[in-house]
Amino acid sequence: MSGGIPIVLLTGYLGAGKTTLLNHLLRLPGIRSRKVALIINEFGPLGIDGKLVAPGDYTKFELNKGSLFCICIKTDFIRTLETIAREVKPDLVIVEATGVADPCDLGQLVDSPHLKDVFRIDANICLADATGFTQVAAFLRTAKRQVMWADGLVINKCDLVPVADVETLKGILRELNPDAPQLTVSHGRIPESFLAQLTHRVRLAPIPEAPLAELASASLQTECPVNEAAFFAAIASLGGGLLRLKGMVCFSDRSSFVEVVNGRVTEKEPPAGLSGTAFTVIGWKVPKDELVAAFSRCW
Amino acid sequence: MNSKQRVVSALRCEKPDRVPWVPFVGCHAGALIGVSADDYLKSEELMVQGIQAAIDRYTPDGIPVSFDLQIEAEALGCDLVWAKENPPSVSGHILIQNRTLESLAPLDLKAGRIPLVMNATRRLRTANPDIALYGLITGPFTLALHLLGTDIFMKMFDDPDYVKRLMIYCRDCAISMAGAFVDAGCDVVAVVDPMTSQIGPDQFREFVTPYVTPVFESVRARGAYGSFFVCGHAQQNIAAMCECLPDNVSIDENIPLDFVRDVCLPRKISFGGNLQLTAVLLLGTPEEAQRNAIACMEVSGDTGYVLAPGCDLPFGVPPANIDAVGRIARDPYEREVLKAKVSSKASAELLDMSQYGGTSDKIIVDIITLDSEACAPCQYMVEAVRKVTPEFEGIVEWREHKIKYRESLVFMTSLMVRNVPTICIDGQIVFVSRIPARDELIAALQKRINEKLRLKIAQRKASVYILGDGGESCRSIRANTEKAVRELGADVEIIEVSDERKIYEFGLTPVMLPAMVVARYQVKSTKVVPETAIIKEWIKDV
Repeated sequence: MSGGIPIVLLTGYLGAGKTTLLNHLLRLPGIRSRKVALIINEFGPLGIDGKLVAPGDYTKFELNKGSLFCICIKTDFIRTLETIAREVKPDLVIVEATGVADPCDLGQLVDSPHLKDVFRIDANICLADATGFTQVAAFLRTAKRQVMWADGLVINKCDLVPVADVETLKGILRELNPDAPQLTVSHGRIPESFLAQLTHRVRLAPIPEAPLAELASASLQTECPVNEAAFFAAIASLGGGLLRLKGMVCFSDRSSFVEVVNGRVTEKEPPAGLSGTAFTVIGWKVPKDELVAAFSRCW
Repeated sequence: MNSKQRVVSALRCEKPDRVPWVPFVGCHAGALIGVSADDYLKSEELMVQGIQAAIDRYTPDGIPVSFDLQIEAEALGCDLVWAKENPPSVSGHILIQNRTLESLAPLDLKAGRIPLVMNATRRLRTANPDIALYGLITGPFTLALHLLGTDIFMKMFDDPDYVKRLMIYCRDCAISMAGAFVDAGCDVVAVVDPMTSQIGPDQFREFVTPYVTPVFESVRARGAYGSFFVCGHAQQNIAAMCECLPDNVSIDENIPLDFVRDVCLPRKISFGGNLQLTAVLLLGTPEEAQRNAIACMEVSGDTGYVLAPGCDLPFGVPPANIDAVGRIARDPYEREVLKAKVSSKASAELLDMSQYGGTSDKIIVDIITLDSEACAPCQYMVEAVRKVTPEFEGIVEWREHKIKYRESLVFMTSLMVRNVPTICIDGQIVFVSRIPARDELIAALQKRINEKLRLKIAQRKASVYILGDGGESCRSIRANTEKAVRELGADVEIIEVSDERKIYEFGLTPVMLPAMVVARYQVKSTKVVPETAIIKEWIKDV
């Protein structure tokens, strides 16, 4: 392993449980015994994440540049790392990245000539929230990219969803990143051994985002009545390719608020004020055109 | 042609007398006049002083009046947290706090710091009639994120109608703000929407295009020009951005400039940006800043390009670096001098590559990239090579040379490579800025393997050692060998060894004699002193 101060990077979409995991990490004996510096890279309400981190024997830096993104935050990040190297001289740096931080940017920063001999990335851990990952990742590219760049994947909040949903998510994550070991947990409680088994892979060529082999979303809308049999047949025919569907559907005899999660269909009374058919679907390995075509045949 | 005309000419996708230079001076203007970012951004007087100082010092062709994407959010009721060396941050998203979308009033142009910025614009306009003034507004999608936070990504699925209603609201705010800037005297309205880099083109067309296009229409209707700013990994959306019909698309260093050029120019949309903000302008030297500017201008060509950084200049950016870029933009002589200087400096460090790869047993594939992690074409080129090499079962080795590192730059220059990404096979440039199809790459490698095989056969020389006591059997071996050499016409030296000590060095004992050992030699270089790096390659083959 090369020299330099090790950095553990935590990524994951807002709400995936990064702060909970961070607090858990800080209590692990192998980490508690080390001199730790934290970098909390905020995007959400300022200071909230920082305040949630349990008090302890560590030095904390917050990057609160919520207004600006990507390239603009790099200056602050470099400055913070320089300060840490100069003033704190820790044994370990843990970076809790914002949910919209592109992990390859952070990797590049450490790889830059100014920092590459001072720091090294030890592990890039990405949290995926079992309850909402597929929903968010269909819209937020960074959520997928964080998974693709991870050295280890922690599937959190597994207690909140059926086992079958966790298995589906594991399959999706494995396809996005076949090399990263996976761990299913609740409340971010990862064992120290998981951390120890991770090695940071410097990717010469990152996995390209293949448009067809990923999460696709489509919004559908129509004024025509929806053929009920055809609609449910479309859901059945897509099978595992349809991860989620949500929205209003006007059948010939009724209007329903339909939700489909991994094949489980629920119908509810439509919320007041909603009318007409308008729903969104998220597919896995089904191109957007096919998703649209499958449902457009229903009216 | 004055500065404003120059910028306008570029924005109209014409060829100005030279490439216009627009440094995005935001809170850095505070540093120029010795005040903190928060003091600067809260004061009309300081803003006028700071921007005037930037104009006087940098003599730009255009300049933004302010670069602060929180102005609208603040006027709409979002709390801000101020910083000494950065623009403020939004610290609370009002739509997840105590407000509903329906309760939000239209943007009040008298609220928050909007009057301050508009007054500053008017004063700077009067004082600088010949410069292009940019009014920067928060793009509708980024403003929506300020109001709702990242919940917006959830809501795109849960409640897309809500997101669309929110986007309509943000569109109207943007149109109001753009109108105010034009009325105050701005020539260009920049719609700065960095958060769009987070979504793909499908979502962009659904949630951004319908709401940004009318903003550009309104700017055009008022006789001004519209620029669409984005930063981050937004390459996937450049075409969709063009469909919103801005006059200009401005990007940062994360997107290859040639890609943007090739998407924008055929659509008659000008483009700009791409100067490296952190690594070069902030942390580099004036000469590095100038080289970066030259590189941008060489890629962009002289039509429809605005030389600019990818985002607002950091507070503490060394003014000497910004001065240096300005000189390069204005002075073709200085540009030529530096280009000459670069080549003379590079040649002093050139490696002698004449023997590179040629006599190694393996085929060496060098991929010269900006950085495969940051540059998509580089990534795909590396990927193409990575996928093919296992089929050659160890005969083909590949390496990526990221030119952000000095040694890679020297290597690139030594191989006479001028464009990235480029694939060199055994030191020969084979694919330039083009990702080869799999079969094409395999064919190129196979061709090189065949060439090398012929070369090696021609270059090989051998010795035959006959080990023994020099008696009858050794003489028979010698006679047979001489006959074989004669019949083959081979260049083989025959050496008899009878010294027991030497025979042991061959790993043989007397009971194993007579024996015959064939040793082959390869000529690796002639009449040159090979570089250590090259000798290493040869030794690895042994």
